[in-house]
Amino acid sequence: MIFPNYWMLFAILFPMTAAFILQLLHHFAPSKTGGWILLSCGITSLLTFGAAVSASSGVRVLRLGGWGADLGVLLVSDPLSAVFLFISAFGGAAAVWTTFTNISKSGPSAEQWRLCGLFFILWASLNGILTTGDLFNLFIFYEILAVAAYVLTGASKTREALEAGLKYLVLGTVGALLILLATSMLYMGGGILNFALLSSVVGGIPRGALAVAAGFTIAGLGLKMGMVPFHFWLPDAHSSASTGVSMLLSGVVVKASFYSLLRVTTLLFPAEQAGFSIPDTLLVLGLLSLFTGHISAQRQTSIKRMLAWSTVAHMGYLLIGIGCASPLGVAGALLHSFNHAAAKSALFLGAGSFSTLSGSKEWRSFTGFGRRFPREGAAFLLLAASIIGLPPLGGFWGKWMIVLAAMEKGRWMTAVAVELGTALSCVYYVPVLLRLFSPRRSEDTPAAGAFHSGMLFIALGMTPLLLALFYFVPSLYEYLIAAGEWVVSPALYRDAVLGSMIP
Amino acid sequence: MAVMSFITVSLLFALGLFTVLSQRNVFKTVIGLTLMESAVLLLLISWAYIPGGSAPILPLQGKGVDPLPHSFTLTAIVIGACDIALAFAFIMKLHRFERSVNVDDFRRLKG
Repeated sequence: MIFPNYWMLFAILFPMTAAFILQLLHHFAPSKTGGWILLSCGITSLLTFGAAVSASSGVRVLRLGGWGADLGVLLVSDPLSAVFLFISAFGGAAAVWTTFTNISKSGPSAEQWRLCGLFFILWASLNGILTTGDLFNLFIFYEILAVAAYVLTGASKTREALEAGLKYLVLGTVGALLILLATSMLYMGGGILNFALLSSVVGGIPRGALAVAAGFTIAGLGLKMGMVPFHFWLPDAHSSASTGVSMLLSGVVVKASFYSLLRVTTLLFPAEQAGFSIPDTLLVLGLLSLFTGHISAQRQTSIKRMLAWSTVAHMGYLLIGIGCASPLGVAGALLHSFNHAAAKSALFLGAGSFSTLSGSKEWRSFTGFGRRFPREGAAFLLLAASIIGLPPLGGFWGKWMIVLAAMEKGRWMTAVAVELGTALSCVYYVPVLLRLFSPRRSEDTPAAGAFHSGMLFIALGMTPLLLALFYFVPSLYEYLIAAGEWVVSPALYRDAVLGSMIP
Repeated sequence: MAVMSFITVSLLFALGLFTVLSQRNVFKTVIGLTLMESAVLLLLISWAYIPGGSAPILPLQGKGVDPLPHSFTLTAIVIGACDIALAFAFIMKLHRFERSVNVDDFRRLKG
């Protein structure tokens, strides 16, 4: 691969530039904007994919301006970032494509076109979070991402969207300030912000200070990823936004927060230093998220709200995976975040299309849609089965690895809880599926109307089948396990990043 | 000196968090956010200060204060201003629907 270190830089620079050029283009040549949006989307996806491929074969370190780790800003991508860069490449492209097809019906002069610029800003900062090598740039990229996400949430300007946007903004800002507080405390203790260098001096920080910083980090990043007890904003924001935005928020953005939690806790708060066991804390919070999400999802009549609560539950699975603190657990969490990103963004797309057809977000109004659109109905069935975790499909294997990791550590109750979560999610997904394939035709649904972005939905509906192969292809399975080993031993990261400093 | 500023930071942060959580008026919620932000920035700035230190401009005269937290603080102030402006934009739009700035009137999404 040519210039292996530079792909991640351009995966940040290109979408950021495109965002602003697209605004100008929309102002001066509105009729040409559509093509350029698609072109920029394709190029960004390609660059992100390139960054992921180059990172998956080894650690890539880019010293911006040629400065070393002690003075300069580093971009680092490693096998862990690679997994999330893949998610970003596919999830971002699917979300931009969905939004594009939705707004292209409203003509080139509509106000909604401006949103596309925000998508690219969000995408750039997402790639920034995944490749940054220091704590302060993590905060900066987080805030860029958050501001773009707040505006996108409220962009449809309905009352619900504005309320959800304001809630998201207030809680997101509190979360960002907690992250900044932890960052400044770590800087006071370590005198450096680079992950690799800070990780090597973190032993000298007093135990109490480190414990407080760890608490603030977990609370701040937990707020951003919708972890119980900081989850209040998530169902509102993810269910009130428009379809493309929901896909991006629920599929990709929460995964970026999960990535930073994984990176920061494993590198900066080693188990013996922080005074309390971070993996155990994450395990308990994960179990809480799992049950809160699954139980609250049962009560929902709105399909998007139900899917959003299900996201809270699946964040729980990911936290349990890293709570096991073993390569297998982390590998399971990585596989599951891939599965969840693909399936949940596709389910939001399907739910959005069904809601537009029936004119209501209530899933009870979807009677017989699965029979009217057999291919889309089959795709929805596959995706829901994968998210529930039925054995041959993709969603099962991630959970299976997490269960195995929990049993490996002798945590039988956790393993049982994860399996109980599968049963609980059957309780709310199965009625929706029964309603979709019900032979009755409801009277009030319109007979005409086409499924939006049907091709994309069917394509995404194939992903559970493809991802099911993950577990059986030895090289991919070994890659995930290697990534897990890489994550749980911070010394490897330190040596790789600092070793590359020697000219 | 340092202890004084740490106590101020803790009080200011707690006050901000309390304001965000307890106040019904949504403008006061935003004020609480700015208080929390000021607390964090004060922490950064007070750590960078060295008694008797000079401005960190080359050539250094004596001991210079740490310039890095100052640049962080400037960046964070800009980000904070952006958040606050966006919050006011949301509040204005919501006010057109509700004719109120009370959080209880805004809170309709539940469950």
